[in-house]
Order: sequence, then C-alpha cells, then structure tokens
Amino acid sequence: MEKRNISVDISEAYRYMGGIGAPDGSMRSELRGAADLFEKSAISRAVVKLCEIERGDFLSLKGTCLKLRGKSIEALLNDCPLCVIFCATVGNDIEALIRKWQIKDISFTAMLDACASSAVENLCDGIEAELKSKYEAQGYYLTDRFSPGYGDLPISVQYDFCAALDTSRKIGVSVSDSGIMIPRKSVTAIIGLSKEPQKHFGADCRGCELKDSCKFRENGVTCYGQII
Amino acid sequence: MGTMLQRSGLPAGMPPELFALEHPEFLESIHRAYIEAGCQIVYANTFGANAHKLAGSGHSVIEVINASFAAAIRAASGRVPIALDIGPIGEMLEPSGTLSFEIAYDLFREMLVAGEKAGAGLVAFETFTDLAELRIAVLAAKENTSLPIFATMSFEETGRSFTGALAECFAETITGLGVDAIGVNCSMGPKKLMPIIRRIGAVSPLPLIVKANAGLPDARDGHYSINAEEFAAEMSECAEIGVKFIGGCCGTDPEYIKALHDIMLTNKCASRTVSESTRLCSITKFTTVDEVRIIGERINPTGKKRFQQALRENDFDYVLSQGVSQADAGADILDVNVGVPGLDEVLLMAKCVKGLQATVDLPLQIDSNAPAAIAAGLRAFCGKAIVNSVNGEREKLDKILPLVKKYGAAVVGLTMDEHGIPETAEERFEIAKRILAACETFGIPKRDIFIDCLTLTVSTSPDSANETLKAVRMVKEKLGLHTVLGVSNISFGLPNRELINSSFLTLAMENGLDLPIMNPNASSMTDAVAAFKLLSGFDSGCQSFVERFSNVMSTSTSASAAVGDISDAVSKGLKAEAKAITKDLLTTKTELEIINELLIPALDVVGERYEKGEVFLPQLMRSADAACEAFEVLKSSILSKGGSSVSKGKIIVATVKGDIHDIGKNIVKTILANYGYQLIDLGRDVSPETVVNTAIREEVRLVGLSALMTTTLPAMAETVKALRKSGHECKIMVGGAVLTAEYAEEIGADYYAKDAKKAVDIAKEVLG
Repeated sequence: MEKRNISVDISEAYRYMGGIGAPDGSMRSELRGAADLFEKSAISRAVVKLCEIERGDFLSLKGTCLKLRGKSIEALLNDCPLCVIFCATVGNDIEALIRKWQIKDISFTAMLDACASSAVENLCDGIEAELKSKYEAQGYYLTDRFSPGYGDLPISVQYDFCAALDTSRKIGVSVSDSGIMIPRKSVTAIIGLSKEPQKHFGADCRGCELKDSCKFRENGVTCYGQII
Repeated sequence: MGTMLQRSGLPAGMPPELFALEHPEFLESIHRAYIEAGCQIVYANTFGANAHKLAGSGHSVIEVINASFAAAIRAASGRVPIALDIGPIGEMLEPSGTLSFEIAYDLFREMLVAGEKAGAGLVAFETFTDLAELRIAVLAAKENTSLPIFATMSFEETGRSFTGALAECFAETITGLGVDAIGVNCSMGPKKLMPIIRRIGAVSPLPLIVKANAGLPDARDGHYSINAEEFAAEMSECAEIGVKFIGGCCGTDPEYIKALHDIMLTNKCASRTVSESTRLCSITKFTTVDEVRIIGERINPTGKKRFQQALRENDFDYVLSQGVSQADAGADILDVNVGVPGLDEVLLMAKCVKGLQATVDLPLQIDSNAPAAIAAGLRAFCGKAIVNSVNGEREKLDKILPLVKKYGAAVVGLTMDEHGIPETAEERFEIAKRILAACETFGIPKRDIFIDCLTLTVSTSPDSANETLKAVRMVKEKLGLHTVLGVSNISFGLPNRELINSSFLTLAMENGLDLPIMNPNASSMTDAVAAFKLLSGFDSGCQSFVERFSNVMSTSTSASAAVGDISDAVSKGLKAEAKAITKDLLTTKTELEIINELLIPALDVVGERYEKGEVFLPQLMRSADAACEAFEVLKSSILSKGGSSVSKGKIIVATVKGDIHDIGKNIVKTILANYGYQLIDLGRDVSPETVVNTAIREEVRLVGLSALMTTTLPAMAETVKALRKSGHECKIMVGGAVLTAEYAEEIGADYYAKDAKKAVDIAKEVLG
C-alpha cells in the first residue's frame, strides 16, 4: 500500500463536469478553489501486484481467483507472460466532503466530484509511468492500461479483482452488490508485460460502450479532448 | 491463521473459512501449533464466515462455523477458550455504500448465535475500518448473546482508519457500549501500532489488545519484514503501556507467538489511569469539554414555520442545511429536535440523525420528550451523543436513563420535576443532586452528566437571571458537573434581545456554563463566546480571536448587495446577488409574480442557451444554485405571511436500487425545484417498493429515476414494472449516463430525460 501525491487537472475536471472547450475566468477560479479543497481533503492510496498469467479456457492470474474472459483482454495480453494489476483510490474522506457540499451548492459539488475523477485518473497515470520505468529497465514492454468494464471484459470481475489485491484490507476499497467500488472514486486496472513491443491504441471511441449516446461526440469532440 | 493458510497455497481471494470443511485436520494442526507455542486464546477460522461472503460457496454460515469450532475444540481439548472471530462483512455501509444497518445487523447476528451455540468462549471483532459497522456488530452481540466482547480496529499510521474514524472516537464509542476489551490489529508492525494504542488507552479504561502484523509486506513476494525475535522485542513496549492481550496478525506464525510468550510472560502489565474529562464524538470528530463548547439550537421546529414545513414535506435537505450552516458557523455539537404534532417523531428522528451524521461531523444532542424517539436517535447515531433530557421526575429517569447507559451517551438533566420549575437556586440544586444520584445508580459516570438550571424570562421574574446563575455556580462548584443552558429565553418580550442574550451568556459562562445551547449563526453570540475564551485564558496567544476578527473587514466588503436584475444574476450564477435582488424585489412584487414573471423566464433563457450549446452543464448548475438562493428567500417570505408553499406539482426523484451515484439526480432536482415543483427526493439505492409506496401515498404524477451503471439498469426496469403493476397513474422519466432513448422505451418508461433541461420540459408537459 502506498500513499501518493494528488494532482487535479482543471481543464480535465471541467470536461468531466460536462463543460466543452475551455472554462472562463470565474469558472476556472472556482474550479481551482474546488481543486485546492479536494487536494487538502483527499488521501490517495494504491495497491499494486505482479502476477503470472496462466492460460487455459480463459486467462487467470496465478495465486488468485481472478478469471479474465473475453476477446478484448485476450487480445491485450496475447504476448504477455506477466501482468501487473492495481487498484487506486482517492479515498472515503472526499465522499463525506461531497455529501456536505451537496446540501450547500450543487455546482461546487459537481466541481469536487469532477476534481476527484481527474485526480484518480492522474493517480493511475502516475502508477503506469512508474511501472513503465521499472519494467522497461528489466526488458519488458507494457500494454495499454485496461479495466473491468472495458470492451467485453465484464464489470462483474471487479469483485475478484479487488479480492486478488486484498483491497479492503490494504486500501479500504470494497465492491458493492452491484459491482460499484466504494469509495466511488476508485479504479482497477491491468497492464500486460511482454518481451515483445506492444501496439498502443490509447483511449479510442471505437471500443467504447457509450459511443452512441456520448454527448462529447455529439458536440464533435471526444471525452479526452480530441476534435473528431 | 491467514498467513498459515496462504503458505499452504490458499489463493488470494478464496474464502479461507471453507478450510474447516475441506481440510479439517490441517486446520486442527494449525490451532494445535499455536496452542503449543503458548497461545492462551485461540481464534476460530470464522473471520469471513458471514452470509454475504459465503454466498455462492455452497455452504451456510452455520455449517462453516460449526466445522470451524469443531476443529478448534478438538485442537484445544479444553486447554484454552476459543473466540468467534468476526471481521467486516466486506461491503460498505450506508451512506458511502449500499449496505443497511438492518442487513448488517442480521448478518452479524446469524454468526453470533451460531458461534455461541458452537462453543465460543468470547467474540473477537477485528480488522474493522468502519466504526459504524463495528458498532452494529457489538450491538448485535450484546442484544443476542452473552458472550464477552473483544473489539479491535485497524488504523493507518495517522491514527485514522480508511473511513476516517479516529482512534479516540473508536475508544470512546465502543467503550460506551460496554465491551470487555478494545484495541488495534493488523495494518502495521508493533512499533507503529504503539502510539495508536496509547491514544486509545488514554480514553478508555478497558483492558487493551494489540495484535500486530509482522511489519510490512514486500510488494513483490508478500514476504513480511520483521522476524519473530524482532517482533517480540517490538511488542515488549506493550507491558509498559499496560496492554493486557497481545498477539500477531498478518505475517506472523507460531514461531512469533512462541517468541512473544517467552518475552512477555516475564513482563508485568503496567496499571493504567484514564482522565476523567468529558468526551463527545462522532465517527471522525473528537471533542473534549474542557472549555466552553457551543451546542447549535437551530434544528428544532418550535416556532419555526419553515422548519415545520420541511418536516411535513420530508424535505430533509432543509434540515441538513441547517446542520451544515451551524457547523460552518462554529457549533461544536448539534441539538436535534424533530417533534411536530401529527408527525411520526420516531421515524423523523432516525432519518434526521442518519442524514446529519452523513453530512456533518459533529457530535449530536438527541432532543426529545419521547423515549422511543430518543432510542431511535441513539441507535442511529454512531459516536458519543448527549440525550436532552431527563429531569427530577422519577418516571422519566427510569424510562430514559437505561437508554443513556445502553448506548453510552451523556445526559442533560433539567432542574425541574412534576411540580414545575422551582424559583430558587437552592431548590434547583436539590433536584440536580437527585438527578446525579439516579444517574449513579444506573452506572452513568459524573463526567457524562450535564445539568440545565433552566432560564426563565427576566421580564416576568426579575430575579430569574440571578437565580439561574447562582444555580449554575452551585452545580459547578459543589457537584463538579458540567452545565447546559438555553440562554435565549431570558430576553423574551423585551427589546434588543440580542444584547440581553449575549450579556447573559457571558455572565453564565463566568459562573461556570460550559455548554450553551444557542444560535451559532448569531454573530453576537459566537462573538461573546470568543471574547470569553480570550479573557479567561482559553485562547493561547490570542490566536483564534485575532484570526476571527482580522478577517471580518474583508468579508463585509464583498457582501454588498448588487443592484441589477434577477435575470442577470441567475444567468451569471451569482448567488449572493440573486438573494439580495430577490429581497429587494419583494418590496414591489408578490412572490408568485417574481417566480412566474422573472425567475422562471430567467431559467428558461439559460436552459435554451444550454440546449443551443452556448453554455454547458457547469454554467447551468451555477444558475440553478443562484435561482435556489432566490427561491429560498421567496419560500420564507410566503411562509412568514402565513401562505402555503408554492407547488406546481410533486415529482419523485430517486437513484435506483444498488446505485449510489446521485450528483446528476441532485442537479435535476435543484433545477426542477427552482421551477416551483415540489421535489420528493428518495435518495439513492432506493427499492422499487419505496418508489411505488411513496408515489401512491403522496399522489405523485411524475416519477424520475436515475442510474449510472449498466449493472443497475435492471433495477430501473424493475422499478418501472412495479409502478405499472401497482396501477398508480403516473408518468415515468428516466435518465443517467448509460441510458439511451431505446432502452428507456424498452423498459416502458414514458420519457427519456437526456439532461436536466429535458427533465424541465417533461415536467412542464406532464404537470404544467
């Protein structure tokens, strides 16, 4: 279990709130206020585990109960003997903060919530960067980061994913009956390690479940800020 | 146990509790090894043997517990007692998660009853990180078994758990429930746990428990960092602290226990003393009453029309906003009174306490005349509460003090009885003595007894201030008890009440008042407290006072009322201006005129710009907040004139069962409320039955459902089905990021609300 620095990207948070383009001056300064409050209150934690991949009817990770089914994950881990799984969270304290602000100011609440989403993504990016430098030095190539619910990897693996990482004891993350991680602003992900160079797709609309109802796409942009 | 099982190949994520069924002899051998190494209490392999974790394993709780105990009993052969080991359920409780108090309680009860039957000598609750969950478990144990109770939590190095529970709050709350030993387990090695157990030991007189990990695990191979000798050496600090029960958690094995046994049996456990100071707490906030502490009085329907209306309409947001604003204004404790004739006080108290503790971190004072309402409030509140109140009446003392004792609360005693309020200080003092004696027979310690010497109106009894002050002084000096007083009564019927109240408050504090019940939003009152603290030496370096008043200049300049129009204020999202302009408008227009001619058109303009893509959701929300401020002004104005509330029709909004995302729903709620609709917000994780029952009971014609996860869409379909089946006539609109128009049609909803603006259009169409 590691504690990490939190950083919020204001423009990214604005997008998470449903804002398009750049926020104006006063919106930006309010977002900055939300980000500052968020950074003071959130405690980020992560747990990371290196696993051997076993191949049978489906992929499984040695020493865990995690079974990974589906074309997407198989394609991702095709060349990989090993993988890293991790869970990152910005904690439960901000849940209490958001509940309090929901009573006072819905707009500021949405800002806090958006900051939390931005922060947890940055947390994952940070973990990925660390893993990259660590394992590339050992001669591995990393795949893209992939999470339960992406492509055809069912979100129902979340329970076993978190159990494999012992998230409830290590970082206080549990999975609800309907597969939601609590605290809400938590992310699980898997990255494959291969001895061969890997293709990278980055975030791409093609594989996304929401591509037909996406408001960003309706407005001619993607959720990660690219013009379509 | 976990360490031993994992070493023999148990995969991470597999329930270890099944070992008793699949490999009983192996389990037995582990127990035997520990006993032979010197273990004096053995924990059965039942940590996760709850129905939630065993679901899908093909085995029942009773089966697993019986088998686990059979193995342990065979191994022990009567040499040592066996503890029923119970860990967290594995799912988070409300409000962060979806697990309810009742379901958690039942899950624990099932294990406890089975464990006691199977031969448990005690129950050991361990590795809890949610104090609220642990409290439910302890209540289940106390109410369903007669097992001695051990309770340990896991904390981070800061002394806070993952859910923010402070070590001191854990100590105070769980000790109050009447367990047999408390302490810490897991998360760290012995050295890092010592400061935390010291903190716990400073607050609780109970025997202490330390069950440490063998240091920290290596991220790669899971190997723990401290060996058996190092472990025992680090644990030896326990003797000096006075820890009675010691053991090892993750990473330890019989070798560690043997090393512990060898070192510790020669060390004497030091005796401990705990301070007698008065402590109150919530889950995350710990308050010592060692100086004046403010009790916020605003959550009380007496004489407050807006508040009564909120309770009648189940407008809990209003109640919570009163809590938040008092907390922000500097209240240390919140009084909670929800008694309104004709309403279900028990239900309201439970709901308000639950809502308040999810939103505000202050300890609460449960204020009611009805024992059932007090019980409901105490049961719902996790922390150390105050009960307001008992008095000299024997019947009242006998009914309420057992509740105070059971939940480990503090209690306020009013110096009056069946004969009324005595005139003289001496008579009130006598009643205080009676209350003290009664509390002592129930085992309630002095530090948890607060006396309210009662404030009478000085305009009708000129000596009343003197008598009250004298009584406060007598109680403080002769009985050594803390004192409570609601000061505002003193000035009833006189002009410049503020001046009288703050002066009386100062006099009272000088005479020993510790816990004034007052309005923290009245700056004259909180200023008086600040000045008193400064002058009586409670403000070191005068820091708080200086901070408080050097900020005053800058805030007052920014609060100037802007002259402008409401449309502008709403479209720019300027809250303070919207409020000020609305107040101004009321001098020339009626409330309804303002709503229909100015406010709603202003919102419509923003809505259209949003649709055209000229502004986006953030701006829409800002405007909604500004409109909300305006609306609150109008609501209060209508009420103060004796009118009934504005309502263009009722709308239910709810996030469906299993889903806890509600920001989107709340945005829609705020915007719809600004249009004058009456919103019934059922919250999140709402069952279909609740939606149906509320729709029928409140005669609601428009129901809005929200879901954010593909996994909770079935719950939405179920809710729609249940509504149709009930025969209740209404329209259903659905929304949420994963929803599409097709799916909405598929499940039989009438409308798909793709955003807040569409929700408004739908409401206009359905309700007008």
